Amino acid sequence: MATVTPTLGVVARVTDVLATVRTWEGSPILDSFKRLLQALPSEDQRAQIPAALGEALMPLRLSRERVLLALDIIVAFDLFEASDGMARLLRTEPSAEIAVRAAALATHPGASESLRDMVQLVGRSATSDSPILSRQITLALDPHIEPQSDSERLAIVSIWPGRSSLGDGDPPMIAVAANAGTCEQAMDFLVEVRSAGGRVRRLPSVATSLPSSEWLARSTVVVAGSDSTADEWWAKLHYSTVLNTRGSLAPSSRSALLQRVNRGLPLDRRLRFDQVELTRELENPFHEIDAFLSGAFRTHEMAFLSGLSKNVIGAISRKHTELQPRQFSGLNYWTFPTLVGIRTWNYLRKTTRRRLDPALAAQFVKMSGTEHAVPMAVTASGEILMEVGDGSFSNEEGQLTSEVFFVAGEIRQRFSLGGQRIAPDLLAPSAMTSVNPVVYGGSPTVKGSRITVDAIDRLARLALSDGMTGSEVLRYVQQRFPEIGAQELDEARQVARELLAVS
Amino acid sequence: MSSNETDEMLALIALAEAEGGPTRLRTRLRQLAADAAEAPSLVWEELSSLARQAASEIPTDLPDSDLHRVVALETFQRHCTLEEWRPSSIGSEEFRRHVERQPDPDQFLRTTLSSETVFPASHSWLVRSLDIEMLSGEAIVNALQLDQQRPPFVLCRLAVARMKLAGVRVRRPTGYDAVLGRHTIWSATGIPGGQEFVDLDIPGGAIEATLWRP
Repeated sequence: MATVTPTLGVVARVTDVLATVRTWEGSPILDSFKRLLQALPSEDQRAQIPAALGEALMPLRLSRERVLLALDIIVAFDLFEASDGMARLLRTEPSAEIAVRAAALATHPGASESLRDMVQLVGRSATSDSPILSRQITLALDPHIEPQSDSERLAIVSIWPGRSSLGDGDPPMIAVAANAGTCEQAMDFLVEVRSAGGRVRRLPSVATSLPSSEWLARSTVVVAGSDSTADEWWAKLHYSTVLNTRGSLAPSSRSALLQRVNRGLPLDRRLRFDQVELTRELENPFHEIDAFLSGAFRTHEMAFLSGLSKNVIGAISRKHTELQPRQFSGLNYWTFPTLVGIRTWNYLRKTTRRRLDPALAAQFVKMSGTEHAVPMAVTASGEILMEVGDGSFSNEEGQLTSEVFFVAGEIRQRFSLGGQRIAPDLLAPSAMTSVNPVVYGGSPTVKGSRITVDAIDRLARLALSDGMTGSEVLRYVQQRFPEIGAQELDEARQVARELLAVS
Repeated sequence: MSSNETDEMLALIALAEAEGGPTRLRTRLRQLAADAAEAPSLVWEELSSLARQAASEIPTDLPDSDLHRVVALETFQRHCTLEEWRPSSIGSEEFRRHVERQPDPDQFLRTTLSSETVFPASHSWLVRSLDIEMLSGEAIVNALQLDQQRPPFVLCRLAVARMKLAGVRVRRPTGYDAVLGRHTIWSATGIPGGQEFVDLDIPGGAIEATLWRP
């Protein structure tokens, strides 16, 4: 990623976002960076974010809390292009709090000389200001100092992760090269790695000097595009793994890339993929209140819960606007009313053994989501009747009828699809799992929790691929989700298998 | 400014309006709502000032039972720890893994606690619930409706005697407190995890124990 001069508009946007983000909830560093990416989504805008953050420091310095957060974001994501802005801030406000963060960024091989000079200057004068921060500045400037306490050891591991003799179980490190993918993709990738509990380094272009051996962890995985000059450069770094992205970090390839990263790491240092799922949900544009009320089901979840194949769902949805999914990043998302409508149609097909027009499903979608339960009936000819009292039903023209062919009151319960196949209970696919459109968009979860069956299954498969036995797999899953027992694990895996098995 | 920030300001103004208040305040809130789309940052500045003033005039009482403040680990590291543990030089993931490796994470977190103000007034939301201590991190998300947050959490237990010594006085939260904490989804009906309280600044000395909830 080449350094670019940010436009005033981008600087203003970055300043506005950081002036309003929540600094007292969750993970302020990660969450704020995500907000920046959401506010500046295009390739051109994202390429300007690092330098724009540097420019935003001066206006943000009016709030100590917010300028420190901005500095922490710059350090956490290695946004070395902000180093000139950081040097200017340090010149204006030579405080130890700012200098210690500037010192951490000054270790980056792409950081500017002006930043290094300012850190040296302020670091010397910070001694009386705050002995602890002054000591931390010293630790940042010299990778060979021996720690004198637990907190110092941790500070050294954070700033100089290559001091492997000090690290035991420190986070896995993934270094992203400038040619790994587009800026837009790379920024998303950085968020995903951090969300999964990994540590990120952004490598400058190969034109700059090599970083010191302490700057990158010994087991760093370098993610880079193919380039013969760069390959030669990586070879000099002696890292254990270099993964070739062929210049693209597209969403479809990032998940596989992270799996490959994980395979090379010991169990206690692996990335946590359940956290990545959260990222996807937070970045999902359906994170609007109506989407939470109505769900955001993926196609295989729709197929599993409606008892239809993905092909049939695709075929009927193409013909009726009401049945069509919403799209984001090339993926289809379906609302809960659409699921109910399609499932009701399938239920009637299976129980009446008649050919029913898919237009009926579209009508069901229109009716689902009302505030009150509506008793409803369908005649043999497919006409929908609504209850009008006294057990009588009326059609759209208001004609009363008592010759009801079928009353569809139990569509949420499990029903037979023929042979051994069944459609599961709509809201409880098994005794210990549930579907709630307001939790993870409706993806099946362990009952009473926000743990998706998919997350459990992926952890279990990871453990099994490492040759763990049944009880070891359970213990491994429980490290992440202590509330999961053997029975929940079995059921979650069974539901996940059924989800994967839909054609 | 994006519509998200404007919407947030409008939601916060609505919370303050719902408290009633004198006519002059309500008139000013309506004017702020009209400006929210144009200048949300300026609106926030004045809105928070008005809310701070209104909240400071509400009477407080001595607490009569133990209370808890639940905070995500990164927020705890950022605002509640001694200088040497703060994210100025220790990464949040490094800190998390360090806590996880401790034989007694509860005790370790207590040793990192600063003695100065750890929860300023606008963030001193407390929960009175004996049950909250028994909940896992995931269960806490549901009980306290922390939909945007994820475990691990740190539970800070404030015992009655320590709170009295530290001068902690509490009262029920109002829409003004929700404005100051930017809790747009706050409701006067409370949360599933029990009754909430708010306090003025809470010093580290008022905290009797810290509990790790991964």
